[in-house]
Amino acid sequence: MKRFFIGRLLQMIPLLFVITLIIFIIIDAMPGNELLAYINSLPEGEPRPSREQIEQMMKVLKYDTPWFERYFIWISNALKGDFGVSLYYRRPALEIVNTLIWRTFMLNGTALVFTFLFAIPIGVRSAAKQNSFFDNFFSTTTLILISLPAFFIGIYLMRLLAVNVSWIPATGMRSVPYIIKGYPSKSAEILDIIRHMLLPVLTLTVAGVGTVSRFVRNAVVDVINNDYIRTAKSKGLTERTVIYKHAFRNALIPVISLIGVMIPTLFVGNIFVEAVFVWPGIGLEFLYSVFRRDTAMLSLLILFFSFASVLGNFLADILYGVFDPRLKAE
Amino acid sequence: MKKQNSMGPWVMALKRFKKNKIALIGAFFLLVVILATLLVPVFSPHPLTDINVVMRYKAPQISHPFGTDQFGQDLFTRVMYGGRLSLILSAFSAVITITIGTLIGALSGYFGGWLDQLLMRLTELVHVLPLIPVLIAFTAIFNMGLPPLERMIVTMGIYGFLNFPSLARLVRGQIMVHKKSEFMNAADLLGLSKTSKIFRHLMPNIFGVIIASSAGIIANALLIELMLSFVGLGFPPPTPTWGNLIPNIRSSGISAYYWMWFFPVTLISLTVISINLMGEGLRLALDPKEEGR
Repeated sequence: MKRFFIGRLLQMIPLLFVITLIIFIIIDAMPGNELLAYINSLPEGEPRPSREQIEQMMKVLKYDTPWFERYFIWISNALKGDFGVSLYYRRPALEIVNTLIWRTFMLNGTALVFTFLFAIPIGVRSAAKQNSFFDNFFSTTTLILISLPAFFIGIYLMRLLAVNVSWIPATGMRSVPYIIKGYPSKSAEILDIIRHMLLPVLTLTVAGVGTVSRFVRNAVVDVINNDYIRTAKSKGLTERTVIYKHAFRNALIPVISLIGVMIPTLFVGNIFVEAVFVWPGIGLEFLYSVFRRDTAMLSLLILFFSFASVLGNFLADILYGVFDPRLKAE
Repeated sequence: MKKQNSMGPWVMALKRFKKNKIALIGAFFLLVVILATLLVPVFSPHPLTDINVVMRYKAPQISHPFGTDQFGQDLFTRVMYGGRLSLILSAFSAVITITIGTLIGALSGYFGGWLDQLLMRLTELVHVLPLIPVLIAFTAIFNMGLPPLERMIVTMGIYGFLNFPSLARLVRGQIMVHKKSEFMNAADLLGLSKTSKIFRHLMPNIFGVIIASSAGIIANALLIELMLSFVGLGFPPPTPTWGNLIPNIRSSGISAYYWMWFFPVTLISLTVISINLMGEGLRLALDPKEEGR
């Protein structure tokens, strides 16, 4: 087990290096560069730099050196924890991403809690009453929910709720009057943010319940077919005890693994849900960075997404490995 | 006594599929949508380029079942026309995914050894790349140089490629299971050629798995086109696609005109749901072990 763990950990390192190379090539291949994008975004009336000045700036920013040299500079700085300065914000990219991650986490973490709160009872009950009306109803409903992307559900919910219930704001994270005037108290600020979180959290929950409840159902069904459940049933235990005390406890193992695997995705979130609700998280910032050609931000963000994805895969291997006796034996 | 007819696996699968009412409904709806996207633009009395200012923002009525948009264009015609392009683009992307996924999975599973190692490392690399951010970054690369149609073809092609790992792993697993089975031993003993063993004996056994997963692949490709358009990286108007027919939902301009978003979004949702319901039905029909799960 230990060898498996270390082996997987070592495999991650070359993988991450190849990924950094791919990221760098993609960003380098984008037409235009951040310097030109920045000059174009200067406010009207401000003097534009001359051609010579631009050339000089290109030299200072090392845009005239070959790409592998710049890759080497970038990667060695990144290893030291320096991911460059965002030309748009004029602050270190890492600093900005650091605040954005928590906004995204706030949304997705809350949604995860609600998702499991709803999905576990649905999944367990579906499994306990296989092929009943309840089971068929929810297996069809969850299939529909899985089919639809989260942002579609978001569009429906936004139109349904935000338009008719004026108390629920449709977009953003803070109300405009408060942004201008400032919050009167800390509790007003928290309440305002919670109000803005309602719709995106609801969307992510509805979208997540489909996948998770199916997963829970299959996990419980796998357990129910075991001999010890038959034994428990033939001992004369009630259906309730068999399902909740014997079956569900064993099915919890894969369910907990699923939570573990989902943790890295909480920091990444769903780009399109953030785009629909204009939630100022990491996904929306990624879209803005693409349009702004903010190279420092872009490379850091894609690197972060990749890292989360690699970590998620690693956790999946480890967590499913921990509970897989065949791997233990090796 | 009546002669007992033996049934082939495909006939049995078809029988099982026919029993699945929900999957049949999905298949039927999908057929209707495909026919509509092919026929409506041809027979519609409202040409695609027809702009009619008097008919702006008209609510659904008999001559305009989905209402009209800000240019007075018939939304029904536009939605159907857009569906044609979107469905073709996603089918194209799915073909790429299925070809690459099957090829890599089959080679990897059949030959094993260093080739398996190499291909699986490649699969793992593509698998861990964050799909949507990388795709958006790629789209941004081609955003300027190419005309829209070619850009979309390239984008969907890249998506098709980036999407191959899960199918490749599935096919590899299936090949490895079947490789050790008795009929493959028999094929070995008969001294059949490698091509014959792979294509005549091994592949037919995994076609079911590939067909069942292709539904999901097409549905996802369809959604990718929508998402890219939603954030402004898809096919630009005036050519309608399902992606750019979903207007910017936040703009206050359309809140009074519910048909502008409701009909496109609902039709697309129903199409995607039907594809998935059909895919689920196919999966259950082609893999009898899954029954009752």
